[in-house]
Amino acid sequence: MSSTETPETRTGEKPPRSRGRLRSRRPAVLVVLLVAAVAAAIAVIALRGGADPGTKAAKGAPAAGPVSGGTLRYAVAGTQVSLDPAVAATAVTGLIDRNIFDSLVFQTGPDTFAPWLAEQWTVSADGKTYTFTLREGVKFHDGTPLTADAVKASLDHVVDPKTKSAYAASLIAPYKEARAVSDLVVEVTLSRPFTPFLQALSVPYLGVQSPAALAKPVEQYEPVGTGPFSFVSWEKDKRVTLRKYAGYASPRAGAANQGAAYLDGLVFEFVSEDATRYGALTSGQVQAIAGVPPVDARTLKSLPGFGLTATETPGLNYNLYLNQTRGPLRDVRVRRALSASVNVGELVQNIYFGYYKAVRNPLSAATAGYDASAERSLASYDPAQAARLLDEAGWKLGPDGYRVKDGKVLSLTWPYWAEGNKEQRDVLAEGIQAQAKLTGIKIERPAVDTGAFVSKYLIGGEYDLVDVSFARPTPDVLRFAFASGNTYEKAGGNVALVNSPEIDRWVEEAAETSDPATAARDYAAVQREVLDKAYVLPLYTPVALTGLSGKVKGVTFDTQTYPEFHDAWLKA
Amino acid sequence: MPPLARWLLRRSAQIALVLWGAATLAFLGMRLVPGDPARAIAGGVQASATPAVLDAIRAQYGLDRPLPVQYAIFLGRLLRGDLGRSYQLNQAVGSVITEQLGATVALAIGAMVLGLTLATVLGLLTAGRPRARALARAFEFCSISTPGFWIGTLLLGAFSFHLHWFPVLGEDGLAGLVLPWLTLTLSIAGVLSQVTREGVEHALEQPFALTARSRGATENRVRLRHALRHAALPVLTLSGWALGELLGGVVVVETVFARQGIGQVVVSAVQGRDLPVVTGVVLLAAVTFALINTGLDLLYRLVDPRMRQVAL
Amino acid sequence: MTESTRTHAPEASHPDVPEAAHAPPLVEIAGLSVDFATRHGVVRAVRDVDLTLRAGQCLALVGESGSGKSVTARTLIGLAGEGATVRAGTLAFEGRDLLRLGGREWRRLRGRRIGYVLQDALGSLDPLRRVGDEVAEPLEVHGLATRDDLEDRVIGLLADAGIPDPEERLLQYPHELSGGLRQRALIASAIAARPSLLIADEPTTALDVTVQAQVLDLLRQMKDAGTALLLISHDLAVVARMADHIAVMRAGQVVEQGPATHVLTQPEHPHTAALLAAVPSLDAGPRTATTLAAPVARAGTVLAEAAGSGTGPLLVDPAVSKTGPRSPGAAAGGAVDVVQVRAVTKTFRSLDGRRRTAVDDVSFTLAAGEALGLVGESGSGKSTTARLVLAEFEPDAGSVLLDGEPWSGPRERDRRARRSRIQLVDQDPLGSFDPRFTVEQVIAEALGPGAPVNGSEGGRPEAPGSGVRGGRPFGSGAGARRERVVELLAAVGLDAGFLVRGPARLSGGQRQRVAIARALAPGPEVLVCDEPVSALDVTVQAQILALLARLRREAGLSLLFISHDLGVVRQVCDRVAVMKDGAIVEIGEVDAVFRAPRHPYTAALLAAVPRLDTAWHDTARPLNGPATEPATDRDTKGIR
Repeated sequence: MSSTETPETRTGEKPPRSRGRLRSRRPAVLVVLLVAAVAAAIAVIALRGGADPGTKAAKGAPAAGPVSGGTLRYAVAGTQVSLDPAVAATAVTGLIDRNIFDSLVFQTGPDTFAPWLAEQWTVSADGKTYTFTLREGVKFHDGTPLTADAVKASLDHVVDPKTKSAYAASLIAPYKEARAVSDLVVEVTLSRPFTPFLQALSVPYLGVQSPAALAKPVEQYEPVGTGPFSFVSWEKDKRVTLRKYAGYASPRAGAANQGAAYLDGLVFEFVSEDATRYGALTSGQVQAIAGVPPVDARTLKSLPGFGLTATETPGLNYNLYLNQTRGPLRDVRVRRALSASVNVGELVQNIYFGYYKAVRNPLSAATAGYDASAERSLASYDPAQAARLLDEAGWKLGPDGYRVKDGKVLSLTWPYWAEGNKEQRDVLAEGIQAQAKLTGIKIERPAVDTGAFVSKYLIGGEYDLVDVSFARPTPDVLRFAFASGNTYEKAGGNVALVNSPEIDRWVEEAAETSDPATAARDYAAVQREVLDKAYVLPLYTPVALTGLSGKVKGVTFDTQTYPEFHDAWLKA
Repeated sequence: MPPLARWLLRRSAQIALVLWGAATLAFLGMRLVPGDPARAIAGGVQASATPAVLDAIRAQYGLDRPLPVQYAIFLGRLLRGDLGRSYQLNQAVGSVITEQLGATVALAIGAMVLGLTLATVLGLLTAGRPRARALARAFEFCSISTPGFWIGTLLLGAFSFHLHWFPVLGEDGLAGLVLPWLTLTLSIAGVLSQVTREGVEHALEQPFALTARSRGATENRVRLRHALRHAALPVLTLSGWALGELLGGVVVVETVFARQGIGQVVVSAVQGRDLPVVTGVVLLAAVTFALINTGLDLLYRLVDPRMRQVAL
Repeated sequence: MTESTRTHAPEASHPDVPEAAHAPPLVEIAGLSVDFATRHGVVRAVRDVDLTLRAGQCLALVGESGSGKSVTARTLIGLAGEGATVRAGTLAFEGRDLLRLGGREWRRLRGRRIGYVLQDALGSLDPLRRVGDEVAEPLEVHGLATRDDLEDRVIGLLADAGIPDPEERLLQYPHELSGGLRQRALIASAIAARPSLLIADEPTTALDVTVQAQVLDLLRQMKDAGTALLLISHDLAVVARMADHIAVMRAGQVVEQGPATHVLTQPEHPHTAALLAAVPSLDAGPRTATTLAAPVARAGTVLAEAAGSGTGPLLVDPAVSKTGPRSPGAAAGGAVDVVQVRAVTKTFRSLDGRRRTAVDDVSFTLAAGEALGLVGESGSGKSTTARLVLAEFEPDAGSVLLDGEPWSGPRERDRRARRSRIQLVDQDPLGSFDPRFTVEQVIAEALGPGAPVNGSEGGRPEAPGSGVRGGRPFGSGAGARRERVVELLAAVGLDAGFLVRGPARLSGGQRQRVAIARALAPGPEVLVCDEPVSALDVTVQAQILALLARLRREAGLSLLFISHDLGVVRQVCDRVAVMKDGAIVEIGEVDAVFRAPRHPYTAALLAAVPRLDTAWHDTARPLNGPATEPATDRDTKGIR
């Protein structure tokens, strides 16, 4: 075996001998590693000097009054899939785009609006035609002048199926067409009367976009509006950088600052981790954060040099919807019993330390049409009453503490969609589960992924309970949530699967009427009815908790709780 | 054909097979989980896309065709190197990935280098020294058993928020990388240093270590010149594992430290059921692993001359 | 532990040698004790050892594994081991008190004044470093060479150690060298700094006999050049060639020491006598290792290599036991040929793609009850032949028949039923034991599933009355299985206490016994023994050989016995086949072949074997000079 290898093969290619062959072997790997580590350490130390967190605020400005300059960093949760407000549905998109885009009108109260890009507007008697007269001399960031055609292009872009609008198009579902009457007058025609139209136009998702930007291919899309800040860059999953639009000429009526923004730059940092975001604010790496965790809210408030702003979200509260088409919940007594079993006030207080308020109405108190008296229809916490109702409905207490009827346990399915969980809603749900158990109602929470949540539950209807909140400052959300035609499958929010001709009539009438009194009466009736029939168990009003550094001045929040940075400035 | 070329050719064929398998799994995975991809494309659960919009999406993406046809189209595109366009981002998948790759690679490579350095130093210093070893063991235990998420949060709280040493947000330079590096490093350094130490200890028990000492070699010389290379072999073997650990850790680290990178891309792509991006990342991961393993095999032969004898 | 003081040497020792008395002693050891702190308490490895070594002389330390010889030697370089406590009345080298040395002084001594050569050069040279780096290390460490002349020095050292083509060897790795060259390189490194003392710890144990002779010659040259030699070996025959003085150690103590001729010819201590008796000799016929017979090993004895040989309860039919190993019928081919190997050839593809013939047209037969020895040096094709006989792989040409039926050729599925008829006993059984198994599990596993195999499958006529072969009817179930395992253990001289032992807690001899019991479990006709005793101490080796001889005799087993050790083959086998380069160069009756070898290679092999009864100063060696063996044995790596 071994001798088959001839000596020639081993010695044949005798390499020229070179000196020092034995010295070439050093533990090279180790040396390289050590050098790399030392180099990295030195580099870091060297960089530390220049890495002063915070901003270069304007210097030498007088102590009082707004000063110009500086960059405000605002850390927000969530990421961004598109900057086109017409496409995306995420809250972050609205938050950012609010600074880039102006809207035709500005919402000043539950149902009052002020001029913005539209200097004035008229609504036809049949409520189907809106005529807007645009402000003169407004230019988009790219220099394109604001014209009637631009408005038309913007609206057409929203409803174009190719845009694949996830949200904006649904806001103006009755939109038929827009027509440029003159250079600055645009006439919008709806297919039916639709009072929430002005409100819809006021949200950032329907901000007016530059027609030149929209004409570009989708891949090259950049948000170009008329707002106080213009788009600079978007580093995916990291930040969006905006710059002051020096030529800003369209502040809304009544804004404190009628000129260009004070800030030179506005940067949105995407920080999805609550603790990181909070730490970034307190350590001065950012000047504002959205979504302060309720547990940290109290601490932040007490920290010198920081402030906390709480803004209640208008629209639908965070509610629990009871699927009235399925199983035991078809019986209104069982629905009311469930409602009476849960001490919402106590749970919310314990979990959110008072920063979120327990509610007794599906509609947020900050919304137009809110009827405080509707809460009288709610089946309030009363375990004895709950037990009575269940007894009446034939559900008797079984041996293991759950109620039984015809051999079946009173068991309700409440799918748990973890990806959608926030604000410790899972903890709240556990509390509800525990309290319902006390009256003998079993609540099961199968964990489901997004696909199953949508197809099996939201569309397939195999749920008894589902929880959701929906922020939008108009009572028209009641139509979204309770009109029989607005099931999830049909892009609506009627997850209780309410099918009530009365409610349908009320919400339709309220949306079409031009008489505020009629609308108010209709909306109040809806609120009473859904509580009376216990289609919904209101839980709490989501609160936008914004943490601000003491240096930040002049930040205001609009009715939709979006912070406005047009007036904001940084103290030196 | 020289053996090395033949081996590389065979390896390439294997890699191609792995890629095909990975792509198919990604395709099936994203298609077979319940839920309508069209709805995902339309913006997810919160979106209120009308049925008309959904139909338009299905037609545009060919989602209305039978699954085998979709698969054939999908494979055909892949063969042409076309990863497709992201459903969510309206951008070519290739550019989505390349945009984000740099940040992740910087993170992973830095952590790997740091981890190996730390492991080497710890392993060399503590091998065969009971007291030092006990200390190192405690460190390793913490490193192995503490989730990366928690390490990251602690480091962030201590060094960024309290001491202000390393800013995390608004800092794209090296300083912003230090804490993420450390977090990732700690997730692998424990195991690596354990393995290094065991390798060094094992080598020190071998006759050649005794021989080296009998020649008058100092302890440092025995460890550095002799034992370290032996310890490098098991560590090399573990590098594949470490890489997997790093890629997993990248997702966590990028979330905690609010960094951009492939990890974030993956998370949002999976949540948004962005099939083209998921496929792209899966293929990228498969290629990375295959290349690294091939490289490791070659490196192994470099470190251990005995391996050069073994048929490729 | 009491503080050791200088104590009297054992009575059997001869404290000094007259002819060297005029030189000052290079090494002086008196009252040396070494304790090791272990988990089970303090173990005294060396006790009250007195030794003296003068310049230019060779002192041999002889004893079995664990007798303390290596530890004793290592105290001279301060590397007795971890947890060792060294005490001595005198421990002096070149007149310096070694007990007072600090770390730096020790390092100045090691490699420079005292060279140290370990056994097993493959493990003792760093496998990841080039040979040149290893040889250069003492020069670098002690600053004895400048950067520029380092390489020349190393080349010179390699050449001095008899390594051909030193310039190429320099850059090769240890595994690329043959065992002999590795050992030479290791010696070259140990003497690089021209030490006055060279400690050689089993320097030839793993080597083929011809290579062993060359390495011993090299050491002898060193000695002749004035280097004192402390030679450690378990092999008295090796020692006989070299030593001026011999110290025999047992259980940490020197039981006898004195001039070599005296110790070898007139041993005073019974242990010395036993060691001498156990050395397999080329001249003696098969012997019974009665001198070393010990009772059946008890499981309670952990440290001692206690393993008995002859008293196991073999349920032997007296009629069978009469069939001696040398039954003329077996050798003459009158008996049935159990194994027939017909012109088998096996080639392997080597790394560079060329085909290499490992076994070349080999033919032989193995008769029932016969023992056939296969001898040859590493790489001669012995093991490949064994693997072919075991049908571990198929020959490229030729065929193997078992019991007259084709054994090579059929598919493994068809072969499986007959697998139990032929079993392997390997050199190192530890690797083949599942470390989590107990001895009982190891053996029971080989019994096969369900009821114990009793050797009657295939319609083969049952071996008459052999308890080992399992002629008795067995009930099924765990009890019967255990009974069978106990019986097998008894057959190899181990008691039932070993049932629960793990393989790691067995000594080398016990392990080999368990391996044999395992091989016996399925009731084989043929045992293929591949170097079954080469890892064992000489006395244990003798016990295992005796066991094999007894099993053959009593159970009628046929043995295919592979060994590089001619003495062992001489002792066990009826016939012997000598292999070289894959071919059988000579085959015949053991006596005939050993007495009058016809092939020159056989003659060379025989001449290279160290003999006890050869005068130790005999220098006529047929294989003298630089190594001529193949420079590399890597080709065999893939096969063994």
